[in-house]
Amino acid sequence: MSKLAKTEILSALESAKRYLPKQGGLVGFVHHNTLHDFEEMPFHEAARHVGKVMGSKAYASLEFFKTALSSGRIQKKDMFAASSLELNADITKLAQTYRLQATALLSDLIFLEDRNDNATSVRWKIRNGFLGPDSNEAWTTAKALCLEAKLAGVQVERSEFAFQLTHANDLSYLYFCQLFDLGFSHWSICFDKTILSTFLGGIIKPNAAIPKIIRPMNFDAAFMEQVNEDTQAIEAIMICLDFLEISEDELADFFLWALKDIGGFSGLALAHDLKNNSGKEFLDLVAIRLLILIGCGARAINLGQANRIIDVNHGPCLKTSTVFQAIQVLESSKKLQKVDEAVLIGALTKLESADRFEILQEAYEKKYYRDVCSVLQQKEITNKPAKENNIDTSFYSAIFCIDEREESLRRHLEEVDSTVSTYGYAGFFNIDMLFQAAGSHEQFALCPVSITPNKVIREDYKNNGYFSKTTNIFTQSIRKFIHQKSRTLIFGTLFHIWVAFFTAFADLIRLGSPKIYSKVTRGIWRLLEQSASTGINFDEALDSVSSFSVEDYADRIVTMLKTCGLQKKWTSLIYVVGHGSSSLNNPHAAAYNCGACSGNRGGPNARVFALAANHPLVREKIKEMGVNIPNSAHFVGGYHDTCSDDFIYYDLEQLPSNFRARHNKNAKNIQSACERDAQERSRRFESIPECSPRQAFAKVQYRALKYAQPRPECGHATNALCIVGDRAHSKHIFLDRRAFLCSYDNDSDVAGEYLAKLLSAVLPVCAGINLEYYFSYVDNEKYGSGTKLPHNVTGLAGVMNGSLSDLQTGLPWQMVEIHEPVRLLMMIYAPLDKVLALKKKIPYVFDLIDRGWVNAVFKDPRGGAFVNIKNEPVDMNLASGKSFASSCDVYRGKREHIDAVMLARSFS
Amino acid sequence: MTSTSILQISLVMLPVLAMALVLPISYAKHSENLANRACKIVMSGLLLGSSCLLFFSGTTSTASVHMYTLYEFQGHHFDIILQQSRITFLLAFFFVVIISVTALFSANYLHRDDGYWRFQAFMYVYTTAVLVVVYSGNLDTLLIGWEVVGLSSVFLIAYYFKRDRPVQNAFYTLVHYRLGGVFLLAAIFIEVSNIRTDIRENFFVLFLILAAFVKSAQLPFSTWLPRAMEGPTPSSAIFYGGISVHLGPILLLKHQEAMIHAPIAQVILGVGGLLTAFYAAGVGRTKTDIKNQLAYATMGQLGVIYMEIALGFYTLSIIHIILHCSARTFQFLKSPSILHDHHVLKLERSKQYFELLLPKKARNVIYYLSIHEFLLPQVIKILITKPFFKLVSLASSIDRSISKYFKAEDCSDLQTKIQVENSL
Repeated sequence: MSKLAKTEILSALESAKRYLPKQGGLVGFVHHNTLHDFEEMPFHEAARHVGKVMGSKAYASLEFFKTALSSGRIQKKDMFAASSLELNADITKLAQTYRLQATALLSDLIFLEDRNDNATSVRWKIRNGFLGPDSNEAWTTAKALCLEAKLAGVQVERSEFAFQLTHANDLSYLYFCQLFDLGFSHWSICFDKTILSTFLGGIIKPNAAIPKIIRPMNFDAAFMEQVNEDTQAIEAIMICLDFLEISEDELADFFLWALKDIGGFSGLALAHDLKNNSGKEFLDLVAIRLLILIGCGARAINLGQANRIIDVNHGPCLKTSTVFQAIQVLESSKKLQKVDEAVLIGALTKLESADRFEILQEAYEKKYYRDVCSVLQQKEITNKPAKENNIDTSFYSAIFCIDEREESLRRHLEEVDSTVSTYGYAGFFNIDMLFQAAGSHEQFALCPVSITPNKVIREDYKNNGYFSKTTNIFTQSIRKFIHQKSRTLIFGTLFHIWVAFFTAFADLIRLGSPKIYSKVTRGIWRLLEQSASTGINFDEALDSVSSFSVEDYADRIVTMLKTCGLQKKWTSLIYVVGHGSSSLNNPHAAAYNCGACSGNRGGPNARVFALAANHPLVREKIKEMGVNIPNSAHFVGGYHDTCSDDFIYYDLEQLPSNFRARHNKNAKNIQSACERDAQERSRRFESIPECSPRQAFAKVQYRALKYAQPRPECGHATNALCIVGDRAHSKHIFLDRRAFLCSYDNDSDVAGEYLAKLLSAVLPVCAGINLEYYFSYVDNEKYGSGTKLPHNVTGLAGVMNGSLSDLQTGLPWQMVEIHEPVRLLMMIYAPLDKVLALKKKIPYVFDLIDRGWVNAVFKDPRGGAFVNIKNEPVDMNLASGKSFASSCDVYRGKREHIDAVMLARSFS
Repeated sequence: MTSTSILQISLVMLPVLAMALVLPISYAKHSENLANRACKIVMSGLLLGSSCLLFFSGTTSTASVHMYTLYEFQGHHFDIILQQSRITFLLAFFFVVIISVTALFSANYLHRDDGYWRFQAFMYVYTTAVLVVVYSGNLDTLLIGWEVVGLSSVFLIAYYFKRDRPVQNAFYTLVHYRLGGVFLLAAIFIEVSNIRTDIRENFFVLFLILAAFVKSAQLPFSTWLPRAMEGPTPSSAIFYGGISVHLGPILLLKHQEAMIHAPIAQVILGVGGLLTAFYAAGVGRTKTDIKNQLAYATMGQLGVIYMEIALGFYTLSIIHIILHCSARTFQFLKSPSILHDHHVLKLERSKQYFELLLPKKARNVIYYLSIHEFLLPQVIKILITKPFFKLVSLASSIDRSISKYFKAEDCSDLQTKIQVENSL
């Protein structure tokens, strides 16, 4: 047999790679589209294709949609509108004959139960002329039946094979855990060379020395002669493929089959490769996997191939039971004419090939989109644009992250305090930095993953005193010692005889009553706070080469001010608020943090931004660039904890004394907005009964400290909308924490330059979050990581299920539980032609929209209606004029999703 | 019957009663609140009762109270006997504290999970069983609790019964527990037999040690413990970090007098503990995931506890049991926080480890053996599993030929089934 060419192998690997999840370590968890590599295909096609190959679901279950239909969440007319014209023609024809409503008939046909056919019903179909004997479906079914019979015949061999595969998988997980450990085990395999040579030297070599009968892996002597410690990955792969007699056209399928069960680890290797910009780790992983398969007895993978044929090769085929049920729906099987029969079969075939789920999904989304667009449109009709207020010195602004979890806080703040104007900007506030926290040597990126930061900002203890450093180092090293040594033999024994009493007692209180524990520790911290408070030496940073220069700052700040339209309306105090989330016992904590800060907490960005924007040199530079920040304006950095609803301000001692009183007043209002926000969030937690804002606030604070809490907050769940435009358009509309809100000032951006920047940064990020939630929801076992209760953190990189398994990628069920599987709707408040003019500049964004990964509507902020990208007006329903006095009235007593509604409160 | 015994009995019965009365109603109403409230009441009751026993019972010496005779046969009794002593009450108190923390933890942790009620039910059964073991005054009584602890733990390993691996591993554990049960029964048989020699005494203690070793996953029965980490985190905590594995040493501590007369068994105990401690340290050091590391750390500490018992440091071993049990359970409960802890504490792998003292070649070999659990699973497979299944298939083939002889129906179905099982 001729050797396979290297390029063929690489290209086959390339195509198999696309099906594997690409999730890096959990520490820097970043949301991304689960099917990112299929974005060149249309959404529905891609989802169905991957679903078929990997055996995962592309849409929510039929049961889910059935419930949605009965609750009115899906409407029959939307289903009719979402299906194709030819199908509708058939349906209408049938409906006329049987005096049924076309929309109702379609919905009945869509919700026919999905039953599998057996051989008898296939034969029945062929005999009764529903299918010709040469039709594609009959052939596939017959083939599948043959294969099944064949497999049943070799039952024992099959189970032997399955056993070998399980053994191979177990060994793979075991070895990959060791090889990809980021430093958790006390004793790790020594790494002086590549992963593959470590594996060959550290595992394959001693393996040969073990008596044959208890050897975990058995290799042929002839095979082993070809492999030694210095074998390159690609050579090893070639040797393995030769041994397994894989032919050229089987390659891609074979790789997919071999890597399917170790998707989590291959994803990790791929993510590492992406970071290091090489393809080494993945190739090593493939070579190791093939070696393990061979070592566990894989000889020729024919049986696996048979499985694959059954899995993949069945196209859309009409089932007998479906036809039966359809005839029952028409309630007159006897009267069914030959003509009708053909129409019915035609309609059903079309329905099947278009995939009824696609129609359901579209209809499901359409209802939500229509409701939201209508409310936003209606607001413009009923509320005349508020006349420009004269800016009072008591007015203030607050810039938040675009995160949809800040939507409720902004809404409540605007309700509580009419003097505030809020803005939304990506939560790293253009400060793309490497941050080094006080007392740490580690630097981490605080910017979106697409940017590689090279500027360093260091934080340090404020009063550089001896006391603070030593106490900190002392407590840290004690905790470190306990943490690491309690699991070893000798220190562990000493620990468990003596020290364990104190730690066990502390843990007992901590687990039994986090409230008391936090009160005590907070008391202690308050004593130490003076010494332990941290700060950034900004002047020193300005001088440093590795940090930002004055020009860098000015450039970044001006971009942000102009995009938001902040420079049009200066206020005396401007709060810049980063966000993050604190929770315990939560390996997925990074997924709750700010996505624009690479899954870290965004506080330092806000802090640095405020420091820079207040700095006289930077302001001067900004003035040169054409933006004049008045001397009476002062920036304050802040941080909002989306889990505990804590709100802290940075560097208040630098606040001029004449701002103090005003700030205190604002802080009070912000606090009460936080409390209301906590109340609104609490309605989603079944374990919190309905209560006042203050009580809810206390409850969510306690929630963030609780080890026993698998749902510290709901994260991005329920996100469905992204509004790009002035806050005035969406102000005082209850959006139920479902909307990413980006401020965009259409007037000051004539050329669309800032819009292009904004869209290219915001749209892929929001779409990534949205689609990750979508896929983790519709198939939580395959795309998500299942329930988090048995999760076991391994190698500081990921979670396994129980004692040994593949790394679980995607989001756990507890995070997506309340999500609605809806694709993101971008609402862009800019004239359509202006947006379309950017098509050449940011093609990626338009591709996402055209291929249906994201839906988009546009509206000229000066007037007019919503249009889609083809300039067709969007379906609206302007009749309902319900409005509520305040947000609290809307959500009181409700735990389910709430449609967008207008709040009557308008001040002008 | 004294008030102490009544209190003891009611403490034992309380969790099972709660399970039988409250859980069905709560399940039918699908109301977690009711179950949570019941859990709180039961746990406070247990805490109150066990602390009363500890502080106010006034017992100074060990007393055995005969409660009931299940049956009597030719002078042999199957009695239910309660033990009343300071140590017993102390252990029971600490175990109740640990169980109640875990129970309250899991009431939150399993919120909205499908198996919420299932978990609660097994938790109550387990609590009762643990109290039976601790309070028992003779082996017959202890055996009841011992087996129920095993069963409830097996059911919680298979908590996610829809996936293959938890069920396989639950079965694996069940086989080990049954073996432990057989050892305990053997010990009971020797106890009731009338021969009185030193050899008898040694064998009696040896079987007790074997039973304890199975429960505490000591060599050579240690492979089940890491595989049992399949259930939700609180169940792993309370069974394999916490109380269940510590019942082994408690079994031995209850037979201190017998142990003194069995020097050979004592040596075996010490050596077994020592070997396990080193084995667990070696394997545990290479493990990259938190639950396995904790499992091996537990195993190693139990080895040390057995050594303490073998050397006669009974009080020390009790302190060690209590402290290790509570600290380890809490570590398990906090285990998903490990990423957070590493981040906050800025931990790095320490570059100095004992293994560096070894020459490189030996280091590599030991490393290889460590990640493969010293090839113990393979050895067990070759020495025990395969011969056993061969025996079964031999028996079935004999059976088949006999049935053929009598022209009964063909049993080929059975044959296939056995072959399938053989491969598992």
